[in-house]
Amino acid sequence: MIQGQTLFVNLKELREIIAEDPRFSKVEIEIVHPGDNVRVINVLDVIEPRIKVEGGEIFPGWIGGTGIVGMGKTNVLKGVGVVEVGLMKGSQCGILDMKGPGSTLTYYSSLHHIVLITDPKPGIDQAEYSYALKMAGLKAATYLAKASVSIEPDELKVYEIPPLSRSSIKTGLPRIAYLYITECHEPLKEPFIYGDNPRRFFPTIFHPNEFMDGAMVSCLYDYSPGLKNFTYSIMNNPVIEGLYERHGRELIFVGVVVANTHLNLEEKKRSASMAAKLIRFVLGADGVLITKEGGGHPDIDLMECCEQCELLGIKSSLINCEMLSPDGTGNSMVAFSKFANCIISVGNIEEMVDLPPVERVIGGKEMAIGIKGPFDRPMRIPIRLIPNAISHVGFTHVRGEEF
Amino acid sequence: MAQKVRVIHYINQFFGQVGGEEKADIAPFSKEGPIGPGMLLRHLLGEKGEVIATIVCGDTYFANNIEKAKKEVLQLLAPHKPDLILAGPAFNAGRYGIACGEVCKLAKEELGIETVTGMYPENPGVELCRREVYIIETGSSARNMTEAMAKMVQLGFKLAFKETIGQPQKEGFLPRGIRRNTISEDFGSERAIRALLAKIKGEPFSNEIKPPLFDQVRPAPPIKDLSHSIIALVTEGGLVPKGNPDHIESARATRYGVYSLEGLDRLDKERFESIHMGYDTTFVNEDPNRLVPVDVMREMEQEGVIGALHPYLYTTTGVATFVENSKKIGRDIAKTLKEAEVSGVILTST
Amino acid sequence: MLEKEIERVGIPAVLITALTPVAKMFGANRIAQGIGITNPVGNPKASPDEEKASRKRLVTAALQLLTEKIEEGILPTVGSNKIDL
Repeated sequence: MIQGQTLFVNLKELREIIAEDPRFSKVEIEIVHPGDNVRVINVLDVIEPRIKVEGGEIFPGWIGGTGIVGMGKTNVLKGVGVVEVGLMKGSQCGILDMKGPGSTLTYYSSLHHIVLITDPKPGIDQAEYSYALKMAGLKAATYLAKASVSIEPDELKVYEIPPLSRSSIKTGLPRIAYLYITECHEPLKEPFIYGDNPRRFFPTIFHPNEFMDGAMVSCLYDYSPGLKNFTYSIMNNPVIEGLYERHGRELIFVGVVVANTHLNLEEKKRSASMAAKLIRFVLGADGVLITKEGGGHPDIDLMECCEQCELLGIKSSLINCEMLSPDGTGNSMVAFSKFANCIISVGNIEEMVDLPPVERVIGGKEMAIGIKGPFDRPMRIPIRLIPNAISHVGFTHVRGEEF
Repeated sequence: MAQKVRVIHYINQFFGQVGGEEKADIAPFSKEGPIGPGMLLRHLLGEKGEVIATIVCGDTYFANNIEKAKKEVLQLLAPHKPDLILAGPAFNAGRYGIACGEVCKLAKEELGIETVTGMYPENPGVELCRREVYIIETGSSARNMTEAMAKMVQLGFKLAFKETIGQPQKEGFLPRGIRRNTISEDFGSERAIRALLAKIKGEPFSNEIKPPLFDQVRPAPPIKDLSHSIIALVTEGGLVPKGNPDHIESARATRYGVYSLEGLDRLDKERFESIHMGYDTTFVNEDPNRLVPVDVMREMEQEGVIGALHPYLYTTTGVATFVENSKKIGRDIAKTLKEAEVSGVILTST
Repeated sequence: MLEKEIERVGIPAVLITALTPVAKMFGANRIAQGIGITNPVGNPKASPDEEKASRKRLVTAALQLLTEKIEEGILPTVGSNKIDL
């Protein structure tokens, strides 16, 4: 229920809905607020509560059917997050402090979070657990947003770009596309698109609004937080927001191309050429902003895409993290193209952050990654463990600089 | 700080007013107070500092006797207990630049004294010490002496007073190849969009990650006769005996393992596994020869294609970006292989 | 980069990796195109006999590079993007 600026959550009811899934042996729900002296561990994903009011469904392939989304009216509970927490042994996870130096590095600490703390049923494999967790997160996000259905929103934002045929009128403004390179492989490394893990898909065109209704959700549980895009950041992609903001005034936002990261050179090159083709010959773009996910070899996909676009006359700018030693030495990236002369840094993922002791820890008694408890003590961790401190879509103020 | 910053100035034989090239072989000596451009330095230090001594050394002497010269300079430096050492500026003079760099590195490492020097970016001395030493960027000739020295003094004072040193562009020194995270006013996405629009318009635009500079290594001479060669296998894919007896780290290893291949016709999965965390090790664990090709190497040894397979496998888990570790591990392995008179190496990497 | 350190002491070394652009960027002198990121000298999709044969071909080509004189600044590589079955 929503009264004014406050969301009231029926914890018992929500807990029952989540615990219905037989793949969980235990479900607990905690609520944390910005400024609370609390540390949330085993963070696997963060989702923004949204619900469709008219014109389609939300979270297609999971909550909604597989019909296209991005039209009509969607209610958003701004300032709220749903956090998926669980012990995914041998995998990765994040540490989110709601107060202190760790919290200042991430936008996520400014949200009120409903934290779903789950234990898997003994014996089920990690992939099943990951799907259960994803479903739980999305169910919770939808359940919470339902409270807004009959209420007048505080703010109305309109996101609209016409189909290509109508945007081809010469305006004198540069036509800008956004190339989103995701990383999609085996279970636990799966961003889902309309409920499917397409894995070997060819680059394809998306309308930016599709992301806003949850067409892509992240099950990249096997990735360090700093190396993946959380569902919250995919739905609130600041590149998309920024391009929309300027649409019609400084630029024409012509659309989004989504491509995958591949495991061999031939596939990387093929994918890059195809993405560049769509951007140049279908979207007719003058410029492209490119982001990626993952570490290491995905730098090659990023560079190949940059090069193929530039060779077709499309100017590119890239966003990337830096994979240096904790002391800031080494090489920022593992691949480079001579065309990549416009790269924005979102920081060295290995730089250490000192976290102070906290009063309370939620999210379990041990962590999936090798850090030993107790977790309320002072901790020194690489910044990539803080969800959204390093953000591959630039949803962060953190950056790297020469010293 | 009421006390004056005690500065030692290091210069070469020319600026030390001993002579030109013909005097470049003089051994280092020390004199009280400033000499030559040290007078300008004294003026720039003003009330805050003083040139307590000048150390002069011939460029050729230093270049030809680096270890000896370093010891001698150290002995001249230490008794003064200075707060700061300013070397040069060397502008584009190569031997002078190398000497300045070495003196600064030495003083910092051995005596913990703060140092600043000045060089033109192409001075060969830059690459030798850019990581450890603050090098003020100067022009190529002594015409820019005043400007260069003023910047050296400014940075030197900051170091002496233990103030926070800002970024290279701001303070005027050459980038040291060290990066740190900072907080920007804007989201990365905003900076990227702005940079893209500027790039399209043909205006200056930001670039926050520059391509790395790598030293090129002179290629080793080729093997003349493969059929009489000893070939060693090295891997960065983390292949170890099952159970990882030496506890090699599963990513960004700081060590490497040495394992005997004697009597083995191939690697089998009961005895070997990969502990590398950075890739899916399923295929390699099914058949380790997919990472370290012992099976075909043994065949080629029997066929006489190669003389012999070196009896040891060297293994580590590499991540390309951790340059310092991989340099050290590489040097150690290289030394071992050289001593074992290995003719050539096949390295496999994931 | 291990390959460079070994070449530095005068022993020719060839790096077999699937990610040849990375090796090129790092300045390795001798590079051979590996088959896959997780299996540089293996091809799990082939039958065991075919896999061993293709491994032998790749290693033979790599050994060949060790016998070639390399000019400074020119990086010879063997192999293409295609998996040679």
